[in-house]
Amino acid sequence: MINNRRNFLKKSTGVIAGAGVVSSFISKYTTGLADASTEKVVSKKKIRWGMVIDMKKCVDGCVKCIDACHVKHNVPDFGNPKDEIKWIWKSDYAKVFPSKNQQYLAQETRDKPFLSLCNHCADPPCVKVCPTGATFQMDDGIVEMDFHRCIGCRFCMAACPYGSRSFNWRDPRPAIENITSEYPTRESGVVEKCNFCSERLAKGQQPACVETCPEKVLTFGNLYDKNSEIRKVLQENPTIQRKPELGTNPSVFYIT
Amino acid sequence: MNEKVLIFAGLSIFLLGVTFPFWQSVEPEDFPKVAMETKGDQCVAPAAYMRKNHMLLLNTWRDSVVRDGERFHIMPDGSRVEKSLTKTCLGCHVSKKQFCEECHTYASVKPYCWECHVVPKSGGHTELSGIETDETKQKELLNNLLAKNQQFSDENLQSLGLKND
Repeated sequence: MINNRRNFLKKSTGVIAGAGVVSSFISKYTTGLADASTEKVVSKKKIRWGMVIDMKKCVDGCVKCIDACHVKHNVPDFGNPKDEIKWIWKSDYAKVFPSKNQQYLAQETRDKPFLSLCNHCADPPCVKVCPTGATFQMDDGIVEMDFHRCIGCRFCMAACPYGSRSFNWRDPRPAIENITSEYPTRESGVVEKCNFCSERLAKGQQPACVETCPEKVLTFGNLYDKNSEIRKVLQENPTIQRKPELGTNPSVFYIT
Repeated sequence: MNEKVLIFAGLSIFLLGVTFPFWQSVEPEDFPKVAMETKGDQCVAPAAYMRKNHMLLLNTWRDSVVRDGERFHIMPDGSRVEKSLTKTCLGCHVSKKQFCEECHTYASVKPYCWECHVVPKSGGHTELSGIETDETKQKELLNNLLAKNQQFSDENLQSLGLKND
């Protein structure tokens, strides 16, 4: 066949038309999927762990949940803010909700130290930036860390909008009061954060902070299960989330 | 002609010298003896396999636990143990010095397990058997976990020293 202008136009028209038909089928199929679920699908296993923090119940000055978490996970205490490692901590309302600059907010709420921890976002920016896959998302929605793979580049710390990640500038072992062999420590040059107690969940236990809290401030459960306790709490109470405008879809909710 | 003889004689002497340790099967006199003082009566895999490939097994365990959340290993007799260096391996082979360090020092291998993992003070054997259903406690949580892991009663966990109250 002679390769002239006429033949070229014939062939290319055919190819473009075929591609159009195929792509319309694909888009029809995928939009159908998107319509079917209004929720962001993270898990194939129908689990997305989440937490509700009822700040109305949280007692000022109580740090039992923080202690329990930090003891169970060998979190060091260096005693200075520069080296501080934190999995769960208390911070000012203005720092936890910087974009909620509501006028005439109740003074009581404004003054209360708010519990903060990793939000285990459905769309986690830390996972996107990690160059080694050390931070990744489990099937149950938990944003997990593989300390073995962390190279300490701290991209994730820059990406996290909630300051939930801490870097080990120094060997943490000397700064841990009672080291437990139930959980590894970290070494210097590794980033760490809350893991929603995935090691306890595997044994059918609640996260350490939830179990410890005497005031039942924390409700933990499966956000995908409509009959779960956490969904009931979310149904009954108006809740807010940290920096929702960023589209990270946090799994941690606050009752203020 | 003389050159050829010299060359081949030299080559054969060289080859003999190089291969000497193989055909003489020279064995070091101070080869370390691995302590076999164990608490349990079975290992997670046959001993011969473990001697050669324990590092591969540990790497596989690490990846499956951390990345896939598969935390239990099926023993040869069908029972289940936690995939854990500190709890299962050292729970049975109680002396880390004998069990790990003897050979690693001899072979000049320096694994960095213990820079993060903590040597247990007292080895706790964590065989998990007799799986029961406790419907009164943490019902929601346990139901959700059924798909992933089998559930254990609180009593069992307590008796095995897995649950700290």
